[in-house]
Amino acid sequence: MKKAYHQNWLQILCCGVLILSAILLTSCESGTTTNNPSPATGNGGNGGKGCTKVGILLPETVSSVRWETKDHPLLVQAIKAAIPNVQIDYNNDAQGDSNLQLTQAQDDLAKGDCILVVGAHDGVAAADIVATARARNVPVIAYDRLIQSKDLNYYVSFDGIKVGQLQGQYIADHYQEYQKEGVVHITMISGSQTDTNALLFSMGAHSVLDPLFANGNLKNILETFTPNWDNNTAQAEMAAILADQQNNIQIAYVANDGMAQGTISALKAAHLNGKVLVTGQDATVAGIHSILTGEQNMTVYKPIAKEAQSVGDLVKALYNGSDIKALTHGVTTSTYDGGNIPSILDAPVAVDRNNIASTVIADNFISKNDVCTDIPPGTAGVC
Amino acid sequence: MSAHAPLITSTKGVTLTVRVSAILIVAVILPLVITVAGNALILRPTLTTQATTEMGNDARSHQQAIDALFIARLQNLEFISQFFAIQHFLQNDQGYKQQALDELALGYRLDPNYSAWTLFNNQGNVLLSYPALPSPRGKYMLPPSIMTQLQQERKALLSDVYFDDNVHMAFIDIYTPIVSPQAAFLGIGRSTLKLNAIWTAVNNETNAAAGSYAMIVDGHGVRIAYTNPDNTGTTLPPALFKATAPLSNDFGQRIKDEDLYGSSHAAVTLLADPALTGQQASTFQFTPALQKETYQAYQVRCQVVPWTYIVLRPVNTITAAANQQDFYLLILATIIVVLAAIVGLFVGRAITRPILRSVSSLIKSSEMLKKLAAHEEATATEQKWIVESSQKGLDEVQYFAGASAIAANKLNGVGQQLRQQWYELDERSIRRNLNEIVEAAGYLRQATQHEERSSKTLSTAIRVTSHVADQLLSGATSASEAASQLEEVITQLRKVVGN
Repeated sequence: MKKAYHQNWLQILCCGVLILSAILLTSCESGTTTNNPSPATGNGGNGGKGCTKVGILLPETVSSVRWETKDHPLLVQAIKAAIPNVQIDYNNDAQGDSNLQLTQAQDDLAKGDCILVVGAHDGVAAADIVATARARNVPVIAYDRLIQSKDLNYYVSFDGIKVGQLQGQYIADHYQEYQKEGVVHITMISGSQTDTNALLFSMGAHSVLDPLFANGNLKNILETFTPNWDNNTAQAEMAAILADQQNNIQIAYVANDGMAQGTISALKAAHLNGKVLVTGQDATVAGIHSILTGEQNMTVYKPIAKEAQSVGDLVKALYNGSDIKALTHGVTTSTYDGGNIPSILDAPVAVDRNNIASTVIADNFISKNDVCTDIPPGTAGVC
Repeated sequence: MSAHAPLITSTKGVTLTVRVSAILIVAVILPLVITVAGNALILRPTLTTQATTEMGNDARSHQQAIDALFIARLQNLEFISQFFAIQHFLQNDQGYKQQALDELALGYRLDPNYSAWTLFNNQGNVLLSYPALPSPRGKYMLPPSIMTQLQQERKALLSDVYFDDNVHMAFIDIYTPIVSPQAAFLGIGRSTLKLNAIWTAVNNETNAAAGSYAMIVDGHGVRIAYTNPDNTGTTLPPALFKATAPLSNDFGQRIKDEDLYGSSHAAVTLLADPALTGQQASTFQFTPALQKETYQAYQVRCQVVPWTYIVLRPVNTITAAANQQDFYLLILATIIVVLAAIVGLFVGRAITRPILRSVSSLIKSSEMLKKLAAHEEATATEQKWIVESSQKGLDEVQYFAGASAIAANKLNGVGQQLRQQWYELDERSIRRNLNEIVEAAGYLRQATQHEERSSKTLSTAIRVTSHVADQLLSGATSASEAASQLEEVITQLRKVVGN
């Protein structure tokens, strides 16, 4: 009787202790445990062969509308045409944040995407995206902007040096029209120094303009790189140069249309709009409109449809497991770490008021309605 | 009372109340003990893991930033070096000299931390430099070891670290060979980059956690960046440009020849940190030189430069949360122990009160039964005596009855003889027969007297028997009462155990 009494109490106590312990331990540990999902590993990407889930990551939406209005639909169209029943994960805005873009890529990979098309915000930082994808045997196609990694699989873009050369050539062909007295003053507003393309464009432009600088026909007042291709910064840069040079600027080499709009704003403030040769790039609606109004002289049309189609062709080749050399023709692009990345570099086209109709309008890159607002009928044979 | 103590105490003499209190204390302390053990076995390692994860992320982000910085700066130099005017100037077209200088200026403006961009010809002689001619690197404008590498490998490279005592800042040189489209070695481009951004990042490591700091150790084992608590920029941290391990004689000579680490102003000396030498683990604990406590370290090697970024955090700060939790647990345990003891006391008393009542009843019943047993024993003795007395009386009565019968027969025989032989008997015979009659009568009188005594004895026995019967009745009543009390005790005990 006495023994049974003791056993009952011990059982009750043991149960109580266990329950209390569990509660206390749970409450103690709940504040300190972390959720660290282990990264998926393996070779699920299969090098893109048979892949039906493709991730598209584009860099931003602020400084250039091209990514959302052009690249996005064209890439989706090209990839859908390349792979039947393909599922596409699209991230359109890394908000200028390399880490955010990496997170977006990781999310895509976690969803099972087996080919990534990456328009990098930062070509250096995006090497992490390549490394992450490589761990899963997922091929990465650097779209429009080179990613600095020897592990990058493919690079599809336009020939950056050629873009700069077209801009420089336009200036070389037309600078004399802006020559008043003596030397023609030019300022060069280049793109972001974190973007490989910006230096390539500048290099291409210099390859044409340097002889003119050297022989004194042109005087390069200042070349500046513009962080994040920011249009407002470009406007401020142009305003500062005009102030510094007492408006004695005849040519503004501007790396893209967005910054050209900022530059034109600065010129307007100085009542010099239409009187200074302004270049651009991307053939945006605003850029073409400015060409039609005479405030911008040229832009470089990079047939994004062609670039997107090159991605589509590459994705199709990966899906089929076929040889991509037929697409790259042996062209490679070097990275800092010794990589030679198989590349498809499409040719850009210079556009001024003389060939708008036959290029961007004819390609349905932009519509007349978009660019002809407030433009007199018959202007440039477009409106 | 003490004779009944075993009912509510253990064999060691501990009362049930104390035992209940003790059990309750154990019941509440045990989870706390388990929690403390969990602290030691789970929480502390978890905190350390979390801290090392944070430190790892921190170190990696800095390593990535350093790599990204140098990749971008390498790219700056490589691209600018391919610019048209520079290429033509290096091919001895003096018409491009100004333009080449402008392009050097362009490169210079790409990063505010550039202090100079310089062009060398293919013999290593300075041709152009922006914004000013550079100062020599020790004995050389371009160290011969670098010149050899550039000529042989035709690859961009980064120098070891220099120190500009005028601006109190470290810098490195980035070199790239400049090659014509026809692969001719035209010259060398060099950009000089101050390490402000990197030193700032290392100094800011103190913001990561209390007591944390960072350092960068280069491929030679020299600390090239070290968190400086003095943010005035006028002093250098004591460990800066000190070697973590003895340097080779060859490299020691190079330091002097090229004035690496600002050695012309302050010689590179040894400040040993054996734990850092050849350390392969990403995270480890050690007591760094100039420190007095153990630090958790996380190191990440850069990819572009042979540098190792090391984040350090005092182990004490990492486990501070666990220490704090232990402290609170100790306070909690003390409070709970006191509460448990008090609650145990009340609960123990509540449990023992009905038991004690039952025990008291049992004691009463026991005493009653003992008293009854004594009475029963006395009664049994008396009964035995009564039986023996009665038996003796009965034997005597039977004996004297037999003796009376014999005496009566004797009287009858003597009387018959006298009646039948009255005339035949002489006087002596008659006298003898009369004497026999008198003797028989005396015998009968004695027998009667004995019978009377025996009757008295039997009468006494009957009286005592009656008294014993009364006692037996009283004992039965007491036993019944004791049984009722025992039933009551059983009922109370059942209430206690809840059965």
